[in-house]
Amino acid sequence: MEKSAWFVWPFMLGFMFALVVLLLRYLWWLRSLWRRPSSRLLSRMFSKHSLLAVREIFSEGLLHLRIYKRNRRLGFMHMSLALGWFMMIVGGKFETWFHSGQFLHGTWYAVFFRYFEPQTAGGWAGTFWLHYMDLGLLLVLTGLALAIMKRIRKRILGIHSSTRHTLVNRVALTFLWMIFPLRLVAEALTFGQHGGGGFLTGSLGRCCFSSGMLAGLELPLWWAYSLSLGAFFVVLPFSRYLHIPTEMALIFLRHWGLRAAEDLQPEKALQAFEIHACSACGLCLDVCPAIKDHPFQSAYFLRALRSGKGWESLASTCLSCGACEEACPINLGLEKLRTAARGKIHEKHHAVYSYLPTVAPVETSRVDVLLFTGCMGRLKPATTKALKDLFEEAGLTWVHLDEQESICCGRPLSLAGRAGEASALREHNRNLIQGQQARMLVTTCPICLKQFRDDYGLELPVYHHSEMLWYCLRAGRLKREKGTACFSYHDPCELGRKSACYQAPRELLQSCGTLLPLEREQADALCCGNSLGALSLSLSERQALTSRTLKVLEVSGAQSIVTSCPLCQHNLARQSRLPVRDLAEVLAVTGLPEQHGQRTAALAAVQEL
Amino acid sequence: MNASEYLPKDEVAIIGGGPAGMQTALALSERGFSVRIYEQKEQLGGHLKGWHHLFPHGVAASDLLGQLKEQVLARAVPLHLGQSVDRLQKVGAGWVLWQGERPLGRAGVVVLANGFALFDARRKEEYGYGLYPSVLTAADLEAVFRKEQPWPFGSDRMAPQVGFVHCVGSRDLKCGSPHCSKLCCVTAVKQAMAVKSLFPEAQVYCFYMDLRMHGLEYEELYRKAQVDYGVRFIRGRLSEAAPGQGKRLHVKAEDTLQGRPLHLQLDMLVLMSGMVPAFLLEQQERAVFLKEPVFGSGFVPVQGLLAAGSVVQQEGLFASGACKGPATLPEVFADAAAVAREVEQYLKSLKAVAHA
Ligand SMILES: Cc1cc2nc3c(=O)[nH]c(=O)nc-3n(C[C@H](O)[C@H](O)[C@H](O)COP(=O)(O)OP(=O)(O)OC[C@H]3O[C@@H](n4cnc5c(N)ncnc54)[C@H](O)[C@@H]3O)c2cc1C
Ligand code: SF4
Ligand code: SF4
Repeated sequence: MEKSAWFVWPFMLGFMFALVVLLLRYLWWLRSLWRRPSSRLLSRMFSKHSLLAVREIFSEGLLHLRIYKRNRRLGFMHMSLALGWFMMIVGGKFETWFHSGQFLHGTWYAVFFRYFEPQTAGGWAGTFWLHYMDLGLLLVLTGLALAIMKRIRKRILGIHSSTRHTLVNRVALTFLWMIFPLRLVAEALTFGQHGGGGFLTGSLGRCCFSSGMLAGLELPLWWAYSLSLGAFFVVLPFSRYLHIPTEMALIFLRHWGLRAAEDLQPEKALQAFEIHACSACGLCLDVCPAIKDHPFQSAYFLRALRSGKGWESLASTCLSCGACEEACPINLGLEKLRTAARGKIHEKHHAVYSYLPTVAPVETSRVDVLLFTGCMGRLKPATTKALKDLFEEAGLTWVHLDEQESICCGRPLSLAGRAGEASALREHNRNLIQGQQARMLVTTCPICLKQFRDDYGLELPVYHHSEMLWYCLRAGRLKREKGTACFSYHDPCELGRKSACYQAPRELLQSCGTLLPLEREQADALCCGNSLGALSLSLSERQALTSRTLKVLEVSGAQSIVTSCPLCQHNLARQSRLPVRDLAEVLAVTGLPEQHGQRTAALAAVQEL
Repeated sequence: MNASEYLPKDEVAIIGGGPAGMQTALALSERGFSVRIYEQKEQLGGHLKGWHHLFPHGVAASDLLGQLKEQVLARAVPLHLGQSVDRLQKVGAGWVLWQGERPLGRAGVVVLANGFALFDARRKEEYGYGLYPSVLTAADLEAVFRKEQPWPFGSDRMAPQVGFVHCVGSRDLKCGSPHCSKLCCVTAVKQAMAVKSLFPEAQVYCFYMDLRMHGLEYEELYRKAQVDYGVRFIRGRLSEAAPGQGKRLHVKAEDTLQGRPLHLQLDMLVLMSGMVPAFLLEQQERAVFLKEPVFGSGFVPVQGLLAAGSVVQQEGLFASGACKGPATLPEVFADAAAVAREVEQYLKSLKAVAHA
């Protein structure tokens, strides 16, 4: 190597710096594991789980398949940037190995290989590597062009909202954008002067950079390339680009069985990796029902957690509708993180539930169904009545556990991050439930459902009433004929996204009428606007959300809106032009008509007197 | 007809033949203007038709209505019954009234007197209206008093337990009705006393947020209800109504003055459903639409103060009575006279311009 090699130093220093900082940060985050290594983690490390992690890194870290599924153009942008860069790193390694016969080199050697060995012959294999490296570069440059377009006109990439960046991120972004065009020009100039090159750099060199007058520019261009690389690496550990290595580390840790903590620890263990793995891809923005009203979406919330400033208000305004968690391509546990943050806010407030009566188990006879309607069920007596009629029709025996006195299932408190209080309520209800002999627990409230399923550890199976009615229908215990009614169905967040129950309500409605397709439904459904999760959204903001959701539901032809959550129903009904009913009411056809009948009959009797 | 030549004559069209419409018609007719009333129903009277007796003195509603109708007949005010106006079109300086695609007539001035609607109590499902036969609205109870509807409990119940819930669908932001209907309080007092006179053994409870006895002699009536009739007033919102023993209702509330929860078994629960807009006024250039109200729509907006009857943004369009917001009959009658004077001044000013 005769040429001056000083220019590689900015890159080398930056690279080493990034490596050291990353290592220190990761070690710090994993400090607790260091002290108490779990045997489970160790055993998973040397098993197929690591291979699975590699596969996920390939499909998500490089190909970005999940983003691609949601939004092709955006997925392509991420894929070209990551895959192109990856191709160049791997290709560079192999190329230098091929040409020098030696596997180990200084890191810089492959990066600046073209400068040091501009004319590498090597037959068809050498040519292959030239074209291959150009292909990688072309991919990155395409991705870059799309990224620039995204900043200028996001609609082109099929998105409505993109994240707004902080200063350090804008600096990092500028360096990143400079790296690859500089590499293109530097390589092209070298090839123009010395000959050779692949389809991209070689051709560009021959047509634009072969003049001898440009020879003096070669070294400065490589300097600029090295400087921008080095500068990018220096800011990387402090910018959102930290997500690139962190996402990979996160995937490994998850596959090795590490789980996020319940309380907020943004600089510790899996939580730290989750918070820093967000690429600010922005997929969580467009799906958020409140995107037009409040900038509290997950990308911003995570950013606030990273900086340690302002996360409190962002944590409590969100509706906990789960749309962003569903959309997040790296499956971050966003609700859990938010709940943990809320717990931190409420740390100092403590409610006491010592007044709850102690429950003594009573001998009860065995029934089919233990019905729990919850606090929200109290707002919707018609649903409870309809469901009981359906039980009768299906020949099921039941006990209504909270008919007289109800004690909250605990989920509102756990969504507010008040884990301790929630568990006091759960304890009480668990005793009540265990005092009964039933084959299953059925609840009309998806909020309770989730809590009973996930956090009670009950022995008996827990169903939402839509699931139970669906089983009855399939088993022929309920029979319905398809009528002429046309419904639009609102998927409650807690039942749909949170409990993945989409089919049962739909099939029930289709059994007795026509279900209309909607612009946003199932996993993409909008929140009713009044979720229990929203702790600090104002009434008018909630009402604006509700009317947006109603616009989706009021499709032409719909005669009524049907849902299967008392809170959603309560909330939608207040603002809706169309009647809003619960599934059970639709199925039971109870309530008003019958009652009107009674009134007119009674009236007729009076008038006869 | 040539639209541009059309000048308003001294013709006034009144939309709505309730107390406000009739009284405004009378006041204008007395001032020498020619008026006509467009009423969507087959009869005059508006909500007054459905009431039994009136606060604070217990005058029979049918007597008052009879007097009003007599006067309207005596002045031979032309009546267009069964005609529902849904659109006003500005032609020249006057108006053409439409029902769908059918022109109903024309006038120089239009007075909206199409009143209010009752809040749909089924929207507060937790109170069980439409679900349990023993839950009524105040309007239903008037129908019971008028013997158009039966009592919800058997005739064997000599000592029924009765509850009244104030502010149902009033002062309720979540229901989109931020306003106070202002006469539910005194209506509950009136009805509670009536129940007590019919069933002296009855236990009657009124659940209120705060009592607004703003009118002449209302406060006195309230005192009488407590002292002479033994009606019990409980400050606190009802949380829910559920089926109780037999045909009764199980009602939960909190007495917020004493800070204790209450559980009651009731034979009848009366919801004081408030007054809400009957229609949504949609103003366009040279046209006004009367549409179905939507969530959060308000009453007819007027300029206020010295122009309390002039609808904002519209020349020659006035509003009288409860279409502008909750009002009692004495207020409606006083308003009618004021609106008539405003209309007169408007027409005079037009004439002055025409002469000049
Ligand atoms: C439960 C209850 C009890 C009450 N008791 C008393 C009492 O004891 N004493 C008292 O002073 N006040 C009482 N009031 C208040 C009283 O009813 C009102 O002040 C009065 O009815 C208002 O009169 P109005 O003409 O403005 O409206 P309304 O009575 O509503 O009359 C409006 C009329 O306009 C007609 N109309 C509506 N739209 C159209 C259209 N597009 N085209 C044509 N016609 C139309 C309607 O059919 C109706 O006839 C009570 C109110 C309630 C709710
Ligand atoms: S939270 Fe997930 S969806 Fe949102 S920006 Fe971060 S990575 Fe993308
Ligand atoms: S949970 Fe719903 S409301 Fe909250 S940030 Fe995510 S998408 Fe928005």
